[in-house]
Amino acid sequence: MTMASTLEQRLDEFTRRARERSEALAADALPALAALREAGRKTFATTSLPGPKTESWKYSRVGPLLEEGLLDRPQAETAVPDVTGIESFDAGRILIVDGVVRDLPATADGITVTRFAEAGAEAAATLGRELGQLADMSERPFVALNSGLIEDGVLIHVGPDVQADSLELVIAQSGDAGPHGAHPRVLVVLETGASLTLLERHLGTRAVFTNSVIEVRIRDEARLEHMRLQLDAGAGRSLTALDVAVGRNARYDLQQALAGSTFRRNEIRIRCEAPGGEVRVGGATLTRNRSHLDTQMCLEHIAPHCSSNQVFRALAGERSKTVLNGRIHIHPGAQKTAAELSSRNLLLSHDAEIDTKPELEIYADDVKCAHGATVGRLDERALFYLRSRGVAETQARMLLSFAFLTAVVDAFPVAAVRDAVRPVLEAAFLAPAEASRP
Amino acid sequence: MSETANQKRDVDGDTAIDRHLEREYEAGWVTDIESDTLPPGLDEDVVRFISAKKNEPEWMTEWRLEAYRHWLTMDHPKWAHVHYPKIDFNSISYFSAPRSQEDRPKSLDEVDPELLRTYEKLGIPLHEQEMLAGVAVDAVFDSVSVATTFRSKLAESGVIFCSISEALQDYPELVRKYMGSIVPYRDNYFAALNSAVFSDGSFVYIPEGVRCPMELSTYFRINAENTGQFERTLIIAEEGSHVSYLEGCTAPQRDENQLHAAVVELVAHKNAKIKYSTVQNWYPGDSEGRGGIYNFVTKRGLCAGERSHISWTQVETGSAITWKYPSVILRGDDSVGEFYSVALARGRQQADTGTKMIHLGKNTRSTIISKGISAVRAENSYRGLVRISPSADGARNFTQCDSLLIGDRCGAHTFPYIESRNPTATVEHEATTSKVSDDQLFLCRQRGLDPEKAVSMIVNGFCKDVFRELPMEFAVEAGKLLEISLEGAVG
Repeated sequence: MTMASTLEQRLDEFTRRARERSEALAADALPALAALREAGRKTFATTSLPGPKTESWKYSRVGPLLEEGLLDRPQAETAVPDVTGIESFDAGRILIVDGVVRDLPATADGITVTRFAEAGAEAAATLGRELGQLADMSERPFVALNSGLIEDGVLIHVGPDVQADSLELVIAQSGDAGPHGAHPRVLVVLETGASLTLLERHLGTRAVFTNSVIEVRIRDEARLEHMRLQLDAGAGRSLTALDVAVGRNARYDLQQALAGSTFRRNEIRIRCEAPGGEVRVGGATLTRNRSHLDTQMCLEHIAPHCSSNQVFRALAGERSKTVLNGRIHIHPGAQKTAAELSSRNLLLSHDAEIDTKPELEIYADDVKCAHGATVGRLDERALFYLRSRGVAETQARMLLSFAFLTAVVDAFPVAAVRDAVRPVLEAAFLAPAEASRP
Repeated sequence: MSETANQKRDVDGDTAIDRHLEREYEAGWVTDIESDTLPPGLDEDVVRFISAKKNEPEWMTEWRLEAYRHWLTMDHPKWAHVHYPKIDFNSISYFSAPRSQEDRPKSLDEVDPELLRTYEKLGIPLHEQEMLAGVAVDAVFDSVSVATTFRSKLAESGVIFCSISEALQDYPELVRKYMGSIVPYRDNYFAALNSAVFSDGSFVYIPEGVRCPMELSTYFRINAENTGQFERTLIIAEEGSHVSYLEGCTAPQRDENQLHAAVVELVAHKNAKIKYSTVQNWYPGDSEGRGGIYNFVTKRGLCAGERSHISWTQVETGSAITWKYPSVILRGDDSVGEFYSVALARGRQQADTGTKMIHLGKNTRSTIISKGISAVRAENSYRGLVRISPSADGARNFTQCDSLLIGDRCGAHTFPYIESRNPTATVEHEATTSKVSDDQLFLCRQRGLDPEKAVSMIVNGFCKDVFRELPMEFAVEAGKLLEISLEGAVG
C-alpha cells in the first residue's frame, strides 16, 4: 500500500485481507464457534466499512485501523507481560495477550471461567445458547470482523444465586509482537440471582489493533458491578464493543476511567429487557496530546419500569479529541421509564476538540427522560480563589479538574480501584505535553 | 398541449455551442408562449422556461442551470427521522398558471365545513376566509389598495419590499450580490432544487440606519398564486437597521402542491437586527397519514457584522412532513443568534426540525429554546447543531429543548450535536421529555376545567417561552391554533 492510495482503496484492501484471513482459519470443532465465524464472515462480506459519510463514525476516522500489518496474526509465542495487580483488590485474573488467552483463575464453586476451546459440556451448551446473541453485527463491521476471525475466547459463567468473588479481565499487548490485529472475545453470563464484580483493564501502548467484543447477559435479579480501566495512552488502536442485556429486577453498574490513544472507540449497548432493571453508567475521561477517544453509548429501554442514570465527565487537553454519543432509546410500551444522562466537558487547550451528542429517541409517553450537556473551561473565579490562597496554578488547575471528575471516580464501587485510579489520572494530568509533531 | 410539445422539441434541438443564438431564441420563445402551464417533468428546458417567463437576466438563468446540474449529481437525503414514499420529481409541474375561476369553489358553501369551523374559531373575518379558501370572488376585497398604502409608507423610509421577480427587474445588482451567498445551491438537495426552479418569493432591503416602520408580512404582499411551492426569500438589513418579518398565517391555507421546498436567506450587517417569525399550518394529511404537505425548507441567516442580531421564531403545526432547520452563522464579533420554536405534531405528522448555530466571531451568543409536542401517532424530532470554531473566543450558547408527549403511540426525539473547539466558550444543553403530568391535570380538573381545556392550558404554559417571542397578534393566534390542533388528541 502506498501513501497515495485513497481511503476507498484502503478499505477495499482491508476487507479483502480480512476475508482471506477468515477463510484461512481451520474449521472449528465447537459448533457455536463455527456458526459465529460463518455468520461473521457473511456479515462482514456484505457490510461496508465506515467511510467519511457514515453518521455513527462522523467524529472518528477509520484510517488508523487500516495501517499495514494490523490484520496480521500476532506471532505465535510471545512473552507474557508482567501485569501488576491493583493493591488490596483481590481478584482472580483472566489474562488475554495479543488476543490469546494466557491465564485463567482456578474454577470455584458455581463459577466457570473457561476458554471456549476447552469448554466442557455445560459450558459448550451455554456458548451455544448465548454466544453472538447480544453483539449485533448488522451495521457494525468490526463486530462482524471479530466474529469472522474468532478462534477462542473466554466464558465467565456464574451459576444461580452464586455470589462470586471478584474477577479481573486483563486485555494486554505483549512487548515483542510486531504490528498485528487481536480480536479478543468474552462472554459473561450471570444466572438468576447471581452477583459478580468484574474489573476490566486494557493495557499496552503499542501500535497494534485490538478489536474486542464483550457480551454480558445478566439474568433476573442478578447483579454485575463492572469497572473498566483504559488508562494507557499511546499508539494503541483499540475498538471495544460491549453489549449488555439486563433482566428483570437485575442491576448493572458500569464505571469507567479512560484515557485516549491514537485510536480508541468504545461502543456500548445496554438493553433493559425486563421490568425493574436498573442501570448506572459512569465515564471519567482524560485525553491529552493527539489522542482520540470516542464513546458510542446506546441505552435501550425495551421493558417498562426500568431506570438508568449515566454520568460522563471529560477533560480534553492539547490536540486531543473526545467524542460522546449518548443515546437513550425508549421503545413503545416501555412506560414508567426514568432515564437520565449528563455529559460535562472541559476543554483544557485551544486545539482540543469535544463533540458531544446526547440523543433521546422516545416512543412511550409515560416516561421521565432528561439529558444535559455542557462544554466549557475551568471557572476562572474558582481558580483565582485558590491562587489567592497560595495554591500554585498547576496545583489549583488539577484540584479543580479532579473535583470535576470526582462525580464519576467516586462512583467506582470498589474503594481499592478508586484509590488506584486517582493517582494514575493525576500523573496523566500533570505529565508534560508531548512535543507536537510537525 | 401540442403547442407545448412543439416548443419542447424546438428547444431540445438547441446546442450549447451557440450561446448567442440560444439567447435570441429564448427571448423570442417567450413571446411565442400561449400556454402558461408546463407539463410535469424537470429538465434544463424547464429551468430556462421559468427563467425566461420571468424575463430574468442571463446570469440568473445560468445560476439556475448550474444549480439544476448540481442537483442532478446529488442524492435524496436520508438522514432525517422522517419516512415518506419516494418523491417523483418528474411528476411535478414546475410552472403553472393561476387556477382558473371555474375550478374554484363558487362560494363558502362549497368549502370543507371542517375548514370553516377552524376559521370561525380563529376569528377570521368572512372575506378573508374566502381568500384563504381560494373562493372565486370577482373583487378580492381591497387587498390591492392595502398593499399599495403599505408600499408607499415603506418607500418613504427607503425600505424595499417586493417580490423576488420584481427585485430581479428593479434591483438586479442587490439580488445578484446576495442571492445564494448564504444558502449556496450546493448546500443541500432541496436548496439546489429550489435554486433551479424557484417560482417567486419576497425581497426585503432595509437601508442603513432605518428602523422598518411596520412589521412586514407576506400576508399583505400580493403574491401571484402558486408561488408557494418553491419560494425564495431574501432579506438584507444594512448597518444599524431593524426589521421584523412575519411569514405565514395561522389559518390553514388551501394549497395544491404537495412538495414545498423553500429557501430563506437573511443578511444582517453591523448593528442590524432581523426578527423572522413563522406560523406554519399547512394541510397535515388525514388521520391515516394520506396526503398532506411535505415541507422541506432551508432557512439560514448570516450575522455578517459586529453586534448584528438574527432571531428565528417559529410555530409549526401543519404539514405532513416538516424538515426545517433555521440557522444562524455568527460571523461578526458580539453577534447574537436566537431560535425559538414550537413544533406540534399530531395524527401521523412527522417533524424533524431544529437549528444550527455556527459560532465564528468572538463573544458571539446564541440561545435555542425548542418545545416539541407529539400527540396521537406523530413523530417529532429536534435536531440541532452548536458549533464553536477555534476563532470564537468567549462564545456562549444555551440550549433548552423540551418534549411533551400526549398518547402512548407517538414519538419524541432529540438529536443535539455539540462541537466545541474553543476552551473559552461555554455551551450548555438541556433536554427533557415527559407527558402532561397527572398532578397538573388533576389540579386543573379539580378547579372545574374539562380535560381538553386543561391540557390546552398546560400546553400553552409549556410553550410560553416561545410565544413570548412572537409579535403580539401572532402570539394570541398561535395560542388559539394550538388549542384547535390539540382537539381530539386528548382523552
